[in-house]
Amino acid sequence: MNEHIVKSYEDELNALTAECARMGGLTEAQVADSLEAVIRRDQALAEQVVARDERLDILQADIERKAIRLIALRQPMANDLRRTVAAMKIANNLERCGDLAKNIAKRTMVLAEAEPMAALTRSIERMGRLVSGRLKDVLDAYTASNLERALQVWSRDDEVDEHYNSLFRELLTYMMGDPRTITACAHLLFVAKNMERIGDHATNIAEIIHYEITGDEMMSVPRPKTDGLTV
Amino acid sequence: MIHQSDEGPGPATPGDAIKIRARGINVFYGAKQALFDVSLDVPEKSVTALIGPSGCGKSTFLRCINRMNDTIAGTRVEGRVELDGEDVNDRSIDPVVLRARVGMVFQKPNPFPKTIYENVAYGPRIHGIATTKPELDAIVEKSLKRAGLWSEVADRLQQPGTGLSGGQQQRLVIARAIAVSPEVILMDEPCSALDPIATARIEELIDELRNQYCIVIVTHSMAQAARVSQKTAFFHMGKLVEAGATGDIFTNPRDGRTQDYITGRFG
Repeated sequence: MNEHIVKSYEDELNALTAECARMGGLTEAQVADSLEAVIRRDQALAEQVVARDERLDILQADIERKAIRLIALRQPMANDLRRTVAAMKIANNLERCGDLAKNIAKRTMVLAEAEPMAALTRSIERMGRLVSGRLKDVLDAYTASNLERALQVWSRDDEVDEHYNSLFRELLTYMMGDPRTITACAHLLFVAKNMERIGDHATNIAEIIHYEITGDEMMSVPRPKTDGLTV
Repeated sequence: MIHQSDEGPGPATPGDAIKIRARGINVFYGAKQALFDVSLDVPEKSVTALIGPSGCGKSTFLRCINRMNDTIAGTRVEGRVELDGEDVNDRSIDPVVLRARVGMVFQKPNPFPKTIYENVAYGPRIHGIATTKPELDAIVEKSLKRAGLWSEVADRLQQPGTGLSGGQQQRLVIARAIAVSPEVILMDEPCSALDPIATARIEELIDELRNQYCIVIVTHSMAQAARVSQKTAFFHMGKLVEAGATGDIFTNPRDGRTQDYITGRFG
């Protein structure tokens, strides 16, 4: 695409996208680290994740401020307008992912006190890797403006839901079998739910990328849910 | 904080240095008062936009800066306009010299009915800035380059300036203004006769020129004020209502009248 005649406008738009991509990188790291912390029962890492969350909040506020300023002062049109709005919305989704990662990290601090449950941890790990991968893929798609890759993430949301549903059942079995595991299992259930929601945010971001690139919303095709557990 | 300069990227953030300091300006056209006690600081090396509805006094204020109001019979100006601390209305100031220091670009491009070359060379020659042909050649080329016009006219410098398109003529006039090395450039609606692409070219030029000059622009387009300026002053009925950083004025104005005007509720 041709550059804008006014260079400072081009610079501002690029700075906005770049900051959003940077925030994406940080969010990816937060999600990956919170998962590592749960799997390895690493309290120190969990504390780092909690402490780093503020950076995401600051970035989100800054992206929003820049986008509002750009809309007020530059009056972006067409793809420029979509790009500006997309940056603001993606930053919102990333900030939520950050909060969920922080919540996982906080639960890790409690889980680390309980007895380890190897089988469950492996299930959490599988689901977590899947979700982390989806977040990474969708952010790569954003940086590269790659519609195809974004759509791949969007169409594969079912896999995360399936993992979540099977984890849900697994956790119920544990809790029924040994009530002493209920506290830990309840926390793990929230960890799984948080992962599932991070996956949903990745799907949202894919939809935003679709809107940014094509100008069309992605409402027309409803994605089927696998069963009634994912509400 | 990650939040950086409020004024976006680019080397020229408005400095604290004040280039023009206006205090208590009253202007009368005969019995009619056009400006009421206007005081405004214009920062060095940045763009200040004057906005407001027709007849609000913004052009009158602009014309006080290089004493263009002197040329209108029956006009009386009170108050002080300081350029680098010096009162421009002082008897010792020669208005011709002042207008070389404070250049002006008007709404309608007004090239002299001469060649492109002569349009730019005329000022430096009469002000004695350059006398020999090589000196003038250098100034003409440098000024046209700075105005972003050189590549379009380099091969036809001897053709009349009036033969250029509107946008090119406006850039020629800007080249003419900067040829005499001014300190301040006043622009009165410089893009109102231009199409959006020519407007964008002028706006990009203004953005570049602010690294070196103090620019004051009067514009009816609030969108343009938002795009090109770092400071905005809103005039209404001869009074300065509000002045501040452009980012603040257009996202969070303090005065209800400013808010109403920029959102299209009155004006």
